[in-house]
Amino acid sequence: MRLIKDAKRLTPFLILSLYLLLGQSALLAQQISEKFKYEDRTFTESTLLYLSEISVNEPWEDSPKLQFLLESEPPKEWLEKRISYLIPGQKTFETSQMLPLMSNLGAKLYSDSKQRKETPLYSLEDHFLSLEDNKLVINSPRVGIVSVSQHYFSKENKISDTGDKEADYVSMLSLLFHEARHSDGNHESLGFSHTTCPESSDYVGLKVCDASYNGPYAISAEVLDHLISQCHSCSDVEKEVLQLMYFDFQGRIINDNAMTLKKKNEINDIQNQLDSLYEEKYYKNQAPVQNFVSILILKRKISILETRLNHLQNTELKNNTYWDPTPEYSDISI
Amino acid sequence: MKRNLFIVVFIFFASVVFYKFGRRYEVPTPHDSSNHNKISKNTEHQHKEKAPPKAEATPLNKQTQENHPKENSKETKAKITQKTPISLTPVNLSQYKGELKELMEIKNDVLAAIPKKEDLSKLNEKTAHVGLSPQMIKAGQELGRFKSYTLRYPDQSEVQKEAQSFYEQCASYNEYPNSIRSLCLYNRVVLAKNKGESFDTSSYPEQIKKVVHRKGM
Repeated sequence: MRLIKDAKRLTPFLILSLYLLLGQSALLAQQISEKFKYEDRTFTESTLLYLSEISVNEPWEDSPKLQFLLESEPPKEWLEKRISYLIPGQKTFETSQMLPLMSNLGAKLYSDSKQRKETPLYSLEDHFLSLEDNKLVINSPRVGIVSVSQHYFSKENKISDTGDKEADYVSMLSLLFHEARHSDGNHESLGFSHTTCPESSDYVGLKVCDASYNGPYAISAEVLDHLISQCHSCSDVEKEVLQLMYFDFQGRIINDNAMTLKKKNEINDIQNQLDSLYEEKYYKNQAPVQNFVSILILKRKISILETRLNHLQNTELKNNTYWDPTPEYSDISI
Repeated sequence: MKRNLFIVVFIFFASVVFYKFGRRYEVPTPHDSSNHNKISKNTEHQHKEKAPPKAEATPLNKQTQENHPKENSKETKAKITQKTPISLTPVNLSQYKGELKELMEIKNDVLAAIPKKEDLSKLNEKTAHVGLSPQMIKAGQELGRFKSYTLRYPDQSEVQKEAQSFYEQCASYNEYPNSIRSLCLYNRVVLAKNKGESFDTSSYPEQIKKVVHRKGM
């Protein structure tokens, strides 16, 4: 009897021991797929736990830019609202063989389903047995499914020599904040999609730049900047790589250049079309048997293009530097 | 009986706590800590074996890149981490001279490790979407390796002069990616600022200055 009483006293210790043994992930708001390799899953958990630790221990208030970008919300909560599920990258969702290192699958599924005017259900049964009915309703970009490619966890993509140091957590966190921003936005700003990089950029022609100052790259850059200053165990070498990452992200915010380039490309495109139409019209006019209908069609096309060109040349560029992050929710019934 | 039960549960609890948290905050081994303040002789030896670097402004031909041993950066990456500032005494003067020599020798290796803009344009959207490419990470590590010398000897004019010319050279080279040039320009401005001087950035391209400016410079 006495032994049972003593055992009862020890129950909290035993529960805590089992809790520590079984699930660090129980401390996290995000659900991390069982399909990750054990070490990749552990690394992801450690990264998110690191965020919990620094959110408590280090003040984020001294970074006004970041405060502004996160709408004054605590970073941990901000991230949790936008990323709920982390799953390994799957080739079935991508058309090409190469998978992105990280991708906000939830935002992509929502934007695709919006175009098809339907609200799909998305099954996560392979990943989370605990999920009720194993189905998610994709009714907003905020559904929060982020895929992380196995390649991301490879050593060549890590910052430190061992690949599991504070610098690596900082790097992954900045990318998670980037993906989290894709869970925001409505209508034109839906998903904060990227724009094509201009000629002056390092990534010319690739759609890996932002035309807004509060987009994914701005968020990840500011998160990096803050975390570098708080990273006490980062070596000089690791800090320099993180700084390079910061400058890389900052360089992708190309609002002015992107707008100018877009206008320039459109004008060039119209001028090229006009040139070929003028030429076609000239030869048709010279032809012995004139095809009046085709000449009329050409004249009409030329007139439309000339009006568009005039309009474009007289339009002043408006820099839409701040995109509305309010997420949209579809009201289409399932 | 009661005591034994307590002991068993306590040992179990302690071992679980150690298993979970003990490994996360590992104390560096003596081997690790010795690496913090020392660059191995192996690295030095490797530099000696190579052809002497040319200290010219247009450094990066393909041959130099091929000659750059892959193992070199990997090895050094593990060996140089943090360097605390050192003030010179007769005891560490020879160490300083050795490291100054190394700094001058690695200069071109570091520049050779930096990818060109055209290398980045070969990336596809998916690999370029988030994070740095492995090539850029490697370049960052090499730049960090160089920087650790300048942080170690902040008051030595020879080291600081080497660093100034290195960063100016790196920030001016058109074929380097903007992010690398921005980082170099930023480091150059910081060096000037540390000495209470200002650095004229007017000759650098707008997209590079703009990014450095965003960092508060």
